[in-house]
This record gives sequence, C-alpha cells and structure tokens, in this order.
Amino acid sequence: MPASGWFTVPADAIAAAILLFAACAKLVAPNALARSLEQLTGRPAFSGRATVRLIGAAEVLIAFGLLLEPSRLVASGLLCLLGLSFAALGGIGRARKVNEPCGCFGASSQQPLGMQNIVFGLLFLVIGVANLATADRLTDDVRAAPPLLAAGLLCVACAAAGRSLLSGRQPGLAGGRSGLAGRQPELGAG
Amino acid sequence: MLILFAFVLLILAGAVGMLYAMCAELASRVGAGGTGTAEPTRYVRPLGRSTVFLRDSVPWPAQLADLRAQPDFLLVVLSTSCSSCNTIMEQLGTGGWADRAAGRLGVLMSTPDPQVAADTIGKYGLDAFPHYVDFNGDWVTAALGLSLSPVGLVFRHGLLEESYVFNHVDPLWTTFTEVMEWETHTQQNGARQVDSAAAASSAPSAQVV
Repeated sequence: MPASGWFTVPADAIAAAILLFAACAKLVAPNALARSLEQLTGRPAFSGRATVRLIGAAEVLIAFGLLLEPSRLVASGLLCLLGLSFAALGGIGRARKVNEPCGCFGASSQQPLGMQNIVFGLLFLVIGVANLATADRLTDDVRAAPPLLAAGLLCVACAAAGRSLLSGRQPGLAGGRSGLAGRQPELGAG
Repeated sequence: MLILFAFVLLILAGAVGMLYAMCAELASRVGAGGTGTAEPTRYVRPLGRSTVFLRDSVPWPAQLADLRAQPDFLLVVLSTSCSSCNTIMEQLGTGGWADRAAGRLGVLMSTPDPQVAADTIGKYGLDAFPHYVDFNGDWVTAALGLSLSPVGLVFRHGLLEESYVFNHVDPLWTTFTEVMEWETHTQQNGARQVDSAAAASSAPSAQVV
C-alpha cells in the first residue's frame, strides 16, 4: 500500500460513514433540513422535501464513489465541493443566527446551521484535497479496507447516536444554539 | 470476493443507519406518553439577565407610541428567524389577543429582511397589534440589551418591570396581568398605610391628669 494510503484509507472511510449517516437522515426525515433551508434562504424552492432527498442521494453517491477505486478521485472532487457548500451554509447560518435545527443528522439532532457544518465541511475539504493531491491507487489487498472500515464506523455512529437519543442528550457539537421550547431561545439575525 | 463482501457489509450498515434515522424521527414525533405528537409543557419564567434593562437614552420608535402611552403594557419580542416565534405568532393571530389585550400588547419583530417581516406580520394578522419591525434587532439590542426571542417584556409607567422567556402566550399574559394586579394591590396597601399613619399622628393625645 502506498504511504499516502495510511491517511486516505481511514479518511475516506470516515468521510463515507459521515455522509451515509447524514444521507440516511435526509432520506428518512427531510422536513427538518427543508425548514432550515427555507429559513436561511427565504425561498420555498430550496425548501422542498425533494431537494433535501436529492442532497441525501448525492451524499450516498459521493460516499460510495469514495470507496470505489475507479471513482475515488472524481468523488474526491465532488467531496471538496460538498465540503465547501456545507461550510458556506454553516457560516451563513451562524451569521444570520438561524435557529431552526438543521436536521443534518436526523430529527434527533437539534443543532442549527452553524459551527458543526463548518467543521464537517472543512473536514470533507481536507479529505478531498488529500485524495486529489496524492492520487495514489490502492493496491488490491487493501481495496476492501475503506468499505469495511466505513461500515464499522457507520454502525458505531448509529449506536452512539442511539444511546444519546435514549439518554435524552442531543448528539452534535457543544455550543450550538436552539430555538426550541424549553431551551435558551436566540434572536434571529438581530 | 473480499471487496464484494465489504460492500455488502456497507449496504447492511446503511440499512442500520436508515433504521436508526427512522427510530430518531419516530422518537421526535412521539411524546413522553407515547400518545402521538405531544404538546410541550407551557412555561413562562424570568429571563434573569442583568444586561437586559431599559436604556433611557435610546428613543422609542413612533410605531410603539400608542403602546407606550398605556400605563402598563406587554411587549413581545419576536424574530422572523426563530422557529418557536412562529408558534407564538400563530397564537397571537388566532387567539383573539388583539381584543383581549385592548392595546396593552405590542409586537416587536426583529428581522434581517423587512419584506419578510412585513409578509410574516400580514400572514399571522399581527398588524392588529401595535408593532414595530426592527431591522437586524438594532433597536431592541440598543434600547434593552436583548438578544433573545421570543421574550415578553413587562412595562409599568414606562419602566421595564420584568423580562420573561416563554413558549405560549397564555401563561405570559396571565403573568403580566398578575404582576400588574400585584403592583396595584401593593400600591393601594401602601397608600392605605400612609393614610392610617397620618390619621393616627393627627389624633389628639389623651389628656394627662
């Protein structure tokens, strides 16, 4: 395995796991992100369930593309674009103090568009750039490693999120804002 | 073969992810009693921030002049970028609050887009209340040091008595009316005590034989 593979294999697996986790949430429960996008953009055209499901489908395609050797570089380029989009949405949401939970990781995730999205967006950007910069092809003996690792990480993510759901704690980064009843409300864009 | 197995395992993990997402969605829809979508418990509680007070140096907008002329009034601070505010707006628009409040309830709408605010006010019928569109929350931040919404502000004789966070208009209005009744009652009792003391001091003392 090339030296870069020690970084790109786990990095691709992590990115794929995150994308698949988020895609599942968007495909199952698109309303949360739809509301958040409508609040952010003020345009109902961006707030449809179909739009959110389309984003979820794109995440699935990019995730699988990252894990398949023939499509890894193309998927890495798309991952960079996706990361930039997430970071931009997070920045705009943070600047406008959007309160609506983004639903990026499902209905249990109460974090609005903000720092969480910026962090994940930058993570995707770094992984995508690393893949494009190295562009080393994985040898046959390790091609199974990224999807195996991604499968394991996805199951761990589901288990961890499920535990926090049952315990009543909200998954996601600390320091997020929420406008829901019972929590500290925040003034939107003011 | 190993690669095929790896992808089959990934698809299975994806199915697990979908199941989790469904469970999370179900959990968000079902309340504690498991009887369907549960209405959150209504609450109102003092905001408790020392930075929130009325700055006399900041003039009030003309749109709230009628409200400010009231001896006591409730100003509800809302935002077009706040999901729980939409619920409050709906309550205000459908609960006959304009008649119930009789000019003692005003709405301040903070917004980054005045057109969105105008549309929102029209949509929920909030133009029946004294209202003011606060661009980017500039006035409410400068005049009151407030950066939250929804918040209810109780004013008496032009002074900010108390600020509350809340999730339903009913308990907020009840709190407002109770606070005002208590203040009135306290003042009346204080006046009676002063009158009694004055009457006692002017009464002739017993003669000393």
